[in-house]
Formats: sequence, C-alpha cells, structure tokens
Amino acid sequence: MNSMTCDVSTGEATEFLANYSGLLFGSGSTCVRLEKNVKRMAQSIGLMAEITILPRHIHLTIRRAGSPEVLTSITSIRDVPINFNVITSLSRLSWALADREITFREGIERFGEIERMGGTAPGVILLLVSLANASFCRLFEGDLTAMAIVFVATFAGFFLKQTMAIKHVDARIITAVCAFVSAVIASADNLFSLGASPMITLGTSVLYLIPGIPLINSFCDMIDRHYICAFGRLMNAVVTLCCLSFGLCLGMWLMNMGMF
Amino acid sequence: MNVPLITWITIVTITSLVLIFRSVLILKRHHAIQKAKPISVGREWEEIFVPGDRIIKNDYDYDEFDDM
Repeated sequence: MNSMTCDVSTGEATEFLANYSGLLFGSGSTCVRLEKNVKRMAQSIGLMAEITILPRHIHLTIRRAGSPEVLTSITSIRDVPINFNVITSLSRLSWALADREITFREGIERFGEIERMGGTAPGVILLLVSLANASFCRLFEGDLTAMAIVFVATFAGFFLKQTMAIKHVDARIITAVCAFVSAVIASADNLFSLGASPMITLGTSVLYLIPGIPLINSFCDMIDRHYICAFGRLMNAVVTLCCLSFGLCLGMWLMNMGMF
Repeated sequence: MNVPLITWITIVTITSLVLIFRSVLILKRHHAIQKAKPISVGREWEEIFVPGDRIIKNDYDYDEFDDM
C-alpha cells in the first residue's frame, strides 16, 4: 500500500468519485468511458469500484481491497450542457491520478477547477453553429442564397435557444420553438423566391437541433451492453426529434410549404 | 389575407426585438469575458470512446502507444 492509498478514506474517495461520475456523465460521456475512468482512479488509490448507470442517477459502490467496508453512493447526473472540454479535462485528471502525477488531494482541487471551468463563449458558439449549418446547406447542394438564409435562420434560432436556456425553459419547448422560428425564417427563400433550392434551405435550417451526441452515445452504450442507459438516451433523443418535427411541421404548414 | 407573409413578418419582428433587447442587456451588464479558449484541439480518445482506447504519451511520437 503506497502513501497515496493510506491518506484517503473510503468515504472521501467515494464522495469524490460520485461527484466526478455525475459531472462526467452529464457532460456527455459514454458509459464505458465513465466506467474506465472511475475504475482507473479507484485502482490508483487501492479501491475497487462497481458502477450502475441509470438514465438519471449513478450508483457507485466502493470497496477497499482486503477490507469488509463497502460504501455505496447514489448521485444524480448533473444537468449541465454537453461540453467536450470538461470530458477531456476529466479524462486527463483520471490519467494524472492513475499515473501518480498528482496526489488525491491535488486531484480534488483540480476537479473543483474543472467544475468551475466555463464553456466556450456563447457568442462564439452562436457564430460557429450558424456557419456550420450554412456549410451543411452547401453540402446538400444549396446555393449561396440558401446558405445565407440558413445562416440567418440558424443564428436567430440558436440565439433564442440560448436565451430560453438562460431562463430555464424546458428543453423540449425550446427545441419546438427554435425549430418553428428557424423554419419560418428559412421559408423566406420560398416566400420571396430568392433562391433555387427553397426546400434544402428549409430542411437544413433546423439541423442544428438534431441531438447528435445523445444518439451517438446511445449507440455506443448499446454496443457496450448498457441497454438501460442506451434506451434512456435514445428516448431523450427521440423526444427531442419529435419536438423538432412538431416545430418544423407547424412552420411548414403556416408558410404553405407544400407538406400538407 | 396572406398568412405566410404575416407569419414571417411577425416571427422576424419578434425575433429581431428579442435579439436587440438581449444584445443591449448583455452590453449593459458588461458581460464578463470567459477565460475559456474559443477554439482548442482535443483528441478523440479523450472525448469519444474508441475500443482499445490508448493514450499517446509523447506528442511528437505518434507510433508510440501505451496501453490503458
């Protein structure tokens, strides 16, 4: 038993690992990454960890090797935006602990820093998402006019999304409203006969609302046989897609875009 | 009545008002500039799990891998 394993109580370690799990999973990590990272850190301090991942909670059971003491912690998955910077930092933290580059106490401090770490500036995200969506429009063979309209529709929709998220509006309502607003603005292509690809403009204007990461994570979890979590993520994604479809269809219906 | 045109003008007007109002509020509050880097490059193994996930120890030696 080395010095690092001695100065950490099972309770402290359990609390740290539970908080770590809640933040890592809430930030958009897959189940398998969570398991690997937590077990890696637990092993580095002489503990054994078993994890049960549910759609909204994580059960973490910690046992010290050769000791009858077993601690179980149930933690809620953090309701934080998906942030790959946080996943990267938490992953690096787990390696730093496993490689003994830092002590457990330093690990707790670094975790606190990661918790406080701000995301990318909302203005930068807004601009990049709008540009990305306009590029998608081009990939689907939209013309320059279509790209410009998609940029504006995405900018407006994503700005509303950020504004409503600050006001803690339900995510499903946000998706439906943003899809509607983007669809209506994008229908300018058809309404004023501006470009040659109005349907491409309309279709690509709501692509930024597609829940890509939950869908990918759901698939990854399914491959790794985390079926409950995979199903939970898939259902979340399906609900989001239903809300997106509702907003898009309402917009198309009001704008006489030929769907109905 | 031209429903699509009225709908479009209404939505664009409301969205523009929200955008202007929020922008003014942000400017008034001297929104704190975030310290996070606007653009950074990560590695896929740190974010999305790849079976047989490995860590590259030396940035300049991509042929050298360490097992997990």
